[in-house]
Amino acid sequence: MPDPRFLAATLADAVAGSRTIAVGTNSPIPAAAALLAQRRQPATVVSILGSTRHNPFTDGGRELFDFAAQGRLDSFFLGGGQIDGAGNVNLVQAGSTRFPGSYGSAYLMALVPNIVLFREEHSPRVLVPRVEFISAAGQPRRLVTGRAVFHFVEGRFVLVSAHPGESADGIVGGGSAGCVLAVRASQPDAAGKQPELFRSPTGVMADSSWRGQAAYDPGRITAPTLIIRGEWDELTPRAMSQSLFGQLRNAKLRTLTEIPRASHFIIAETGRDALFAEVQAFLARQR
Amino acid sequence: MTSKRSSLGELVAQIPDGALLAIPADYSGVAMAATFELIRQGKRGLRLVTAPTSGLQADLLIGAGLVAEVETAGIALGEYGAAERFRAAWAAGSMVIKDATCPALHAGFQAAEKGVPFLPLRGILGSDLLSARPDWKVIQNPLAESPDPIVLVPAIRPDVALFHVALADQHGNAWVGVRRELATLAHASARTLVTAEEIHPGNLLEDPLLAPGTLPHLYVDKVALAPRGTWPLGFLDQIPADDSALSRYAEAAKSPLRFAAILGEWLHA
Repeated sequence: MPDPRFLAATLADAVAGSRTIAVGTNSPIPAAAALLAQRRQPATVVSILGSTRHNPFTDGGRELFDFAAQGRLDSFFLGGGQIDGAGNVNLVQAGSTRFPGSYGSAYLMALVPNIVLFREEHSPRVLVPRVEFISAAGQPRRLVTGRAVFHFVEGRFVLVSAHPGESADGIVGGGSAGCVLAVRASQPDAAGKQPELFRSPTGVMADSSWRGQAAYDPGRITAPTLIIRGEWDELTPRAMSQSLFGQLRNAKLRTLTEIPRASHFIIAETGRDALFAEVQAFLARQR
Repeated sequence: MTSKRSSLGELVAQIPDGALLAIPADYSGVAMAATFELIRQGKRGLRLVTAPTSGLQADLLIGAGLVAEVETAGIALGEYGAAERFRAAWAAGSMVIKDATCPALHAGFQAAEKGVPFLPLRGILGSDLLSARPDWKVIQNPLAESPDPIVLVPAIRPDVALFHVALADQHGNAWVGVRRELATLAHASARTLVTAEEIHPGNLLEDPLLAPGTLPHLYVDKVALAPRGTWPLGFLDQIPADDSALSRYAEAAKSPLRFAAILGEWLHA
C-alpha cells in the first residue's frame, strides 16, 4: 500500500481550487487531504465530521446538507464497498456482506460538483462491473485508489496516473481484473470487436493544433486568459495564437505575448525566466 | 415549576417495549449509561431510528436482542471497524432494516417538528434507496413548468428521544450548544429523556450566554445525572473515547459468545 501521506497529497490535488471541502465519517486520509488543501490555500473552508475544531457549522447535522443544496459545497469525498464503471457507489450490501449504510452519499453525489471517490483497496471485489446496490448514482469527478488516479469523463473512468511503483499496464491489464471489468462495463461495444478495442483518453490529441478545429469553444471562456508563444515556435504558429486570441471574445481580459528567441519547448530553454516572469506578472494583475 | 430530575433507572423505565426510539450520532451526545440500563431492564422489540447514524449504541442494543427494527443511514464503529452485531442480525434476517440517507432522516425529523406530513429533498434520484423505501415518493415539482422530479420523505415522529448533554438543570432545560440536531429530535419526539454530564444549579434559560444553545424544558420529560455518561464513547472535546475498551469490543463482537462476555462485564461494571 502506498504511503498515506502520498494518498493525502494526491487527494489534496483532486480538491485543489475548492472554496469549501467537507469530509464525512471515519475518513482520516481525506481529512488530511482537506487540511493540506487548506494549508496550500488558506481561504479554503474545511468541515470534518466529528471534529469540533474543524467544524464551521452551528445548526446541527442538517446544516452541511442544506449548505450543499444551496450550492455552497464544492468538494466531498466518498468511499464505497463497491464502485462500478458507471461511477455508482454501493455502501449497503454485496453478496453475503453487509456494509454500514449509505450515509449522505445518495444526496451529496447529486449536489456537490467535485465528488472525489477514494478507496485504498484496488481489487476486483471493490471495482466491479455493476454494483449490487446503488447507494449513490454516479456523477463523481475523480477516483483515487491505492494504485492509481482516474478521471470520470463522459460517463466513464479514464486512467490518468499510476502511483509510484505501479505501471499503467499493470493497472489496466493483467493484475487488476476488476478494473478491466469496469472499463469493459463502461464501453459495452468494445467486447463485440475482435480483438477487443477500447477508446483511450486522447483529449490532447483531439485539440485544435492537430485537427484544425478546437475541441472546445474559446468563446465560452470568461476568465482572464494569457496566451504565450515562442517567437520561433513552428509547432503552434503565430496565426494559430492570433486566431485563438480572436475567439476569446468573452474573456474578461485577454493577453497575447511572444517571448523572443524561444521555441515550443521554452520551458527547457534560456527563455524560461521570461516565461515565468510573464506568468507571474499576469497572475499578480488578477489579485 | 416541578423538578424533572430522576434516577437513571426511573428515566429508562419511561421507555416502553416496542417504542420508536430516536438516538443520536456518535459525534453528538450518545447516552451510553442509559443504554446499559435499557439492557439491564430487559426492554423488548425496540424500533431504533438513528439521527442519522449510530455505532456502538445500536450495535450493543441489537446484539443484546432488544431491537426489532432499525432505520439508519449507517451503523459502524468508525475507526474501530464494522458493527459486527448489526451485520450478524442482517445476515440472520432477525431484524427489519430500513436503509436511509443522512439528510432524509434530518428532513424526516424536521417535518415532524413542523407538524407536516413530509418534506421535499433534492438528490437521491437514481439511488436504489428509492426502491428499498416505498414510503419515499418521487413527484413532479408542482411549482415547475418543466420536468423536475423531487423526492418526498415522510415525517418521523419517535415515541422517545434519548441523548446525553453537557449540562442540564432541574427544570428540564438541556444545553446542547451547536448540536442542534438534538433539539430537532426533541421537537419531533413525543417524549424526550436526557442524561447530563453535570446539573446546572440555576435555570439555564436565565443565563443569556447559555440560553440560545439550550433546549427548553417544554420538550424534556426527565433529566438524570450521568457523569461520564457516554463511556466508552468520548463526549465532544471534553472526554476522549476509551480506545482500549472500544478496540476490545470491536474484536469481541465478532463472536456471539465473546460479545455476551464483554456485555456482561460492562453491565456489572
